[in-house]
Amino acid sequence: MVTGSVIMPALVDNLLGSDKENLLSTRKTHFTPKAKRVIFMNMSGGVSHLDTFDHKPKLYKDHGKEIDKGDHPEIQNRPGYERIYLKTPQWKFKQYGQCGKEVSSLFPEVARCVDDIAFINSMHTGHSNHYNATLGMHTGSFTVTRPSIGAWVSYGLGTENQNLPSFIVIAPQSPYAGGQVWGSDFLPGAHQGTRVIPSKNPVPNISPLVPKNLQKLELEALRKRNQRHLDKNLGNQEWTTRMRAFETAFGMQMAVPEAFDFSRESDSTHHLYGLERNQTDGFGWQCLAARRLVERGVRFIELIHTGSSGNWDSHGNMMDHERLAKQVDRPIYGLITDLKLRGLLDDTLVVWTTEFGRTPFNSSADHKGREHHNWAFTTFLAGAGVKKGHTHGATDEHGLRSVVDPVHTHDFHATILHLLGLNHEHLTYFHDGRDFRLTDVAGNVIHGVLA
Amino acid sequence: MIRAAIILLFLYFTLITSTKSEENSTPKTHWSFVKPTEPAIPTVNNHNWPKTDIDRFLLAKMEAAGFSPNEMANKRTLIRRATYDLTGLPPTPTEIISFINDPSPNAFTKVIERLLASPRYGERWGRHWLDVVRYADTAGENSDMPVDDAWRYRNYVIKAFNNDTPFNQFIREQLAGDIIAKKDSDCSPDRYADLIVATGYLAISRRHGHDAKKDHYLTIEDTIDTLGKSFLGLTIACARCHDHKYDPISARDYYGLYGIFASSLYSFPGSEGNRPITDLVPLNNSKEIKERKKAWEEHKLKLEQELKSAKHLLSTASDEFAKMASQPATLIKDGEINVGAQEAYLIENLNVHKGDMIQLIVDAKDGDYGADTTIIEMEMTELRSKGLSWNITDEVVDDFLSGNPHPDKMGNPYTWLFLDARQPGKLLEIPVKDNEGHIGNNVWRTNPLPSAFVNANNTPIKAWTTLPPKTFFVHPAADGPVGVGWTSPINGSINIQGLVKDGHKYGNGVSWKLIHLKGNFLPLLAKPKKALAAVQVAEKRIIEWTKKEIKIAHAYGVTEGKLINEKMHLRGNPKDLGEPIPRKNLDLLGGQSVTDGSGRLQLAEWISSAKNPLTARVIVNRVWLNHFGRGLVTTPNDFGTQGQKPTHTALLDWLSLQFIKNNWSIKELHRMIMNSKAYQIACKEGPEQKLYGAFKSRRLSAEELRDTLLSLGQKIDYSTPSGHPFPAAKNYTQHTPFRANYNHYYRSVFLMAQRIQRRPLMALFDGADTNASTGQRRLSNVPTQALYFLNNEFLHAQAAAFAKRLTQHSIDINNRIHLAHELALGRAASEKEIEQAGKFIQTYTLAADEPQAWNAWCRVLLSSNEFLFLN
Repeated sequence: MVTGSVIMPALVDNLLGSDKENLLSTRKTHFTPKAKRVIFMNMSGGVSHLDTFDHKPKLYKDHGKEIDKGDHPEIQNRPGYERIYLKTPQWKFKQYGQCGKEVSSLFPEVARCVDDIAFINSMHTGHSNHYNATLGMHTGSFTVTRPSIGAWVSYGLGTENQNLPSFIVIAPQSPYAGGQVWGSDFLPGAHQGTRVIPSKNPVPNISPLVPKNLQKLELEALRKRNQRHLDKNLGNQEWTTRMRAFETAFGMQMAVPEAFDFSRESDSTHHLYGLERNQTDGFGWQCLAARRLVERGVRFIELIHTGSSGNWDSHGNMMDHERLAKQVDRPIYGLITDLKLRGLLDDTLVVWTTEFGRTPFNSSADHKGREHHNWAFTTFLAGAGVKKGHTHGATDEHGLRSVVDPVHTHDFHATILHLLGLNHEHLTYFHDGRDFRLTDVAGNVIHGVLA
Repeated sequence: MIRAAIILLFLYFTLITSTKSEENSTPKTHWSFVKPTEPAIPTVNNHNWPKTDIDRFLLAKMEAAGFSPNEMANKRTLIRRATYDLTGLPPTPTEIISFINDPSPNAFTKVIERLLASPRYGERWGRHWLDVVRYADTAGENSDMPVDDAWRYRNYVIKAFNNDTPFNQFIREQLAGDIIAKKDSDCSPDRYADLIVATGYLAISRRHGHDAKKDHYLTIEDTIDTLGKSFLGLTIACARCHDHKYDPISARDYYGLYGIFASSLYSFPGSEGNRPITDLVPLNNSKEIKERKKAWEEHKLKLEQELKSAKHLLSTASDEFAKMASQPATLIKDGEINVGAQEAYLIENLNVHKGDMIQLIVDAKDGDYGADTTIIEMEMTELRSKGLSWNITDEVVDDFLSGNPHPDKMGNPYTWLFLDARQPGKLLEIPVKDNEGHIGNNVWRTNPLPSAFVNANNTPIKAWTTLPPKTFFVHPAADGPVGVGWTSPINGSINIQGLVKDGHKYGNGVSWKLIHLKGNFLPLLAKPKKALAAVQVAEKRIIEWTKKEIKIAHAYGVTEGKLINEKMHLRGNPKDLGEPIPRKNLDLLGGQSVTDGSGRLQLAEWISSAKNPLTARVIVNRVWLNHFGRGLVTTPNDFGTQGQKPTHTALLDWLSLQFIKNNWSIKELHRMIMNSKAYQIACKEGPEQKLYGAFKSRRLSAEELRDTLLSLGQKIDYSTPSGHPFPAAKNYTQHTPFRANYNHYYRSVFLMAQRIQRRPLMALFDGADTNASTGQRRLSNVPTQALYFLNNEFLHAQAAAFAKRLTQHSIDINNRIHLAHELALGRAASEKEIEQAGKFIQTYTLAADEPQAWNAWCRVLLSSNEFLFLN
């Protein structure tokens, strides 16, 4: 595993940060961590739990039955939704693995990994708008801007590799709520996510605009000039830090493209992720990039599928889930399998989530779509410290509400931090006259999913 | 005797309060909540060193700590420091030389005066205030709506700093400019407009949610949060949910203020769930302009009536046509295509009479009409005579909007028809040029669907789907089909051939059918054609008249609203209401009740009062902070019990009282600070910095960096721009929020700032937060910034422009290198530097060429620490 600067490994510990304290140096956890890093897969738009990982036989049976609309936030005063009816899932479920987890035919590949996964079937969240729920899933705040979970993890743990950012977000499109999803807000800027757009040149300012031999000439002239200035002016910590930053940056020009260059990956690895050789986009590309970043010590990697449009928001027709599932099913299987083969799953936490679920009902039973549903949805965890082949919590017979061991996004966050050796109540930052937390004033670790 | 006892008592209490822990500090004793009293100017041992009283305060502390101040900065360092400090730009070589050559004791004072008089001053210091008030050009709700008029407040702030508007007046204008304007009958039109614009301070509060009107309580929270931090250095918003044990602000205080803003009407920027932009505040309220505007509106209404009747005629004509078209038709052929598929058709030897109609109808399958864009090809060939033929693509694409019916190439006026086939044969009514802003994407439709449209370009258009070049399309509606018709201009026999092809890869495909309607349609088609012409004339008149609109500029501001006392939100939940709290001042500041309107004017007076213990201290500390890089209070937005105590309490109090005496003049405060010796001390690392015994070097801000780069290459435009080129149509959603990154060469304070995304330069170099008050920029130093200097295209371009300036300046290498050092570093180049630069140019030229060598050398200079840091 690469953990040092490419060009000056000995200086690693002092390379980053502006003040005397290096903002990104590795930091002690509150207790022994199970996971050293996180891959956070975010399915944008709201994946239907009912059609994927939360099998509700009664919902097939009760298709067309009218139910009480209650106080569901999406249909209050909404024309056409005066009465609502249950709507059957369109895919068949089958049992998989030794644990016998029921998975729908949308995810036949992920189904092969169920014995490594802990599903949380009892998720619920605080808002039914994409923007707010996405913000909540990332920052714990459903309204105002707060630091992203990735920024909190970077702040809490620092980084193992100074040539790559500690928090990388691979997102083909901008997500709901835009850059707030990976922002550091009041945490130091070094913790903000670096967005990578799947392409040949994924990181800004990384490709040299002049040939390397000429760039070396320039850097040497710069070093001399800075050294003279330093000698003349009795030194300044910031200036030496910045001189080293140029050396690191020089290394990053190789380390970053190298991390995203799959040419040395075997055909079988490509195949595992459902990836064509030389392909530079798609969720398979994102997943393989994530594994490579994990190997290089990046602390928190978020993979967004797909963004704020063309996503899982299947109001019009649930059949669109089929197209989307095809894009991610094989890559997710590939990632989990690959991490396992390489022994990385032992200390890497894999998170799969979405901002909310979809309604088991609609304005008519024959309506082709499902609406936003924040009362219930499914997420899963796999890898370091996570119980294998397990399903935590449950929704009611129609998948309308989380009724057994409900898990709020705050609890979800508390659990992720816990697996990283961080107590979510102690991971705080003093700002505006008080201590702030990712979990605000809530959150309980879900012990049921811990190994 | 008595006096001595009082002093002793005072000292005793001071001692007690300062040794007490912060937790026990109460509003009565916490330092910042006690009105400052004039402190004595301390006596110092080194009488010769101080120049001003500021120096005496600072030196006394240094002497107590056993430090002596560092030497003074040299003149070059000093002018570079002061010029960036007051204008955010480097000094010019001429300015440097004239300062160096000025031997008078007040030479530096003259520099300060020159800089304070420069319009560049307001652009730099206005930016500091815009940081504090978290200025942005967008609203921040789910679709981050761009706010057309926000810029007026930005420019108002810059102007206020340039004019040295007394700070207490500046506060009053921002909180209650609209009320002041209405009360002042002698107000000039310009002054009136400025006062209205000033309330942008409140209006730029962040908006939230899908329907931003529903989440207005969060906007008021943001207003209160920023109000507390910006003017008072207090984190008031903490009291939204409940009282805090050691916090001097109670929930009653919070909702007392809340009512004031709930009783005010904020301009509304529009949002996805509530589109109309409302409550903008007119900048001109004269009777004359109101009357002209009224007359204009009345005439517009009249024109709109005319259009309505023309449309009615069209609709009637169309109905007559529809009636005939609804007779039973002969089905010629039908079919279905799936997603991504196409189907060709060929009908041979069909007999037609003049006036017969052939229709191709396309419908959604299973009611799923999304993504049903369908490409149509259709060609009729006459068999018996001279091989006449009609091709829809060839004949309609280029002049699609010329009419419906649309002529054929032989000039028959009624050959092609675009049909709303929901009622058989009704003509599509509304022509649209450049649909979705795509040139050549023209549409006939009946709102909102069905529609027939073309891409008239020779290149594809990327719209909701990729539209191939020179193509004709149709799209069915939710409740029925769309069609295209061909009215036969001949009696004879024809072949029909063509294609139906899915044009949008999602959805579930379409069904189609080809039908033959018999009977003479031609006489019926004259009327719609004529009616349509009338509609088009009426529409043109409206467009022309709209150009003559009497436009009253508006501010994004605040006015008085419906007066209410807000009920307490229990635990911060706006749905769980407690008792109503009368509008009032904070208890800490006197707790007076509102007696006039919303209470904003009274609030403005309470905050800007000389009796307020916080306001003057807070702004004085901000000014000090931006000169020295560290505040006397290091938590500039928090003077409360959780904030840091001042390092020099007496100095802060003394400066605050001087500031009030000087009529709250910010420029006078600059003069006091910059004319002190303390400001002119040389840089040095070490513990002396904390007591101001040595100056702290600092990195250039994002704006200073960009502006300097633009100025060195002489690209910078110093004029004052108005708004941003925001699109007029604001149909943004959370799926497709507003996102833009406009580039220009104006100063960086004029760059468009969004709330849901940051400009890459600002994110990288620690620009202000657009979502919450930035009291002090955190100036980081990370490798991704070094990457910017290595590989950023903007940086490379500016370095190249700088190199060009140097090479045009002189053919002599030494002259070029000297000029570069003067411009970028504010000093001459040394012998050694000239020698090394020469070598570098030589070596680099061998490997590349000479222009590239100069570009590279400029990049090195602009990447250097000496360039990026100020001493």
